[in-house]
Amino acid sequence: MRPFLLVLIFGSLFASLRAQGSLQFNDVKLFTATSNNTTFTVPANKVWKVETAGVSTSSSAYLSISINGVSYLLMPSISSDQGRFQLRLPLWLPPGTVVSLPFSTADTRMISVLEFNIIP
Amino acid sequence: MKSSLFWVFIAVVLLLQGRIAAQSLAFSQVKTISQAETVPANKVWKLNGCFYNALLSGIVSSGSGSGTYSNSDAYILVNNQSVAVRSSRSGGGYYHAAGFVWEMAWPMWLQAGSTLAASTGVLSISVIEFTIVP
Repeated sequence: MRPFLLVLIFGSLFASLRAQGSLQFNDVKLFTATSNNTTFTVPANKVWKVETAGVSTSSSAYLSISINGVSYLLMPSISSDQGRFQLRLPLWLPPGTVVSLPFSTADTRMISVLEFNIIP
Repeated sequence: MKSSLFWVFIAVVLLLQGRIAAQSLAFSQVKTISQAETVPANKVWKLNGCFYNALLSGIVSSGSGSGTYSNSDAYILVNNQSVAVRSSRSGGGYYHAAGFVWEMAWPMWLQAGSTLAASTGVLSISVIEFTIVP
């Protein structure tokens, strides 16, 4: 029974040392949007690191990312976005955050995401 | 009985601490991709950047009206879908001699089963391959 107690004590100590929380790699994801209505939501107990965003053609398009309904520019359009602030990636997003990729044309948009588990 | 209880306890502690379900990435190799290749099972690829094979076209700064502009783009193919990685845009006339060069932020991550190839304006893509360690 003595080893059992020792493991219990050291296990509890180790758990308390880790109590500040940490992030644990879970998955690599590539989300593709082909319409303005496509949204992606960060699941419960996860965080997303959005590493990059891409667009299928850039000839006349702009590229932006919408976070909880607020749009941020990633690549400007020559006709209307000159001089506008461009968001710098990566972005860290908490659970429940809703992401979409607004369109100016019929282009396909994508985001590359690292997903982490939140370890309490 | 005591022994089996002990190992059940160890398993519960490890599960609670996320040790059993944990995944991590272990370095596998560095690759340079030009022709289409598929990310192997149990691997992920980290795309770090491109080697371009073409200069950007000249900047347009004169002319009139809204039709006077120039684009020069470079692409990679991800799952057979073009993705712009660099773009030069400029225009005169309506665009008031505006111009800029944009480059996609790196890295991009691809999961197992994804395909990748260089496309217009790109000679090759610099990739680090990682093994998913359960």
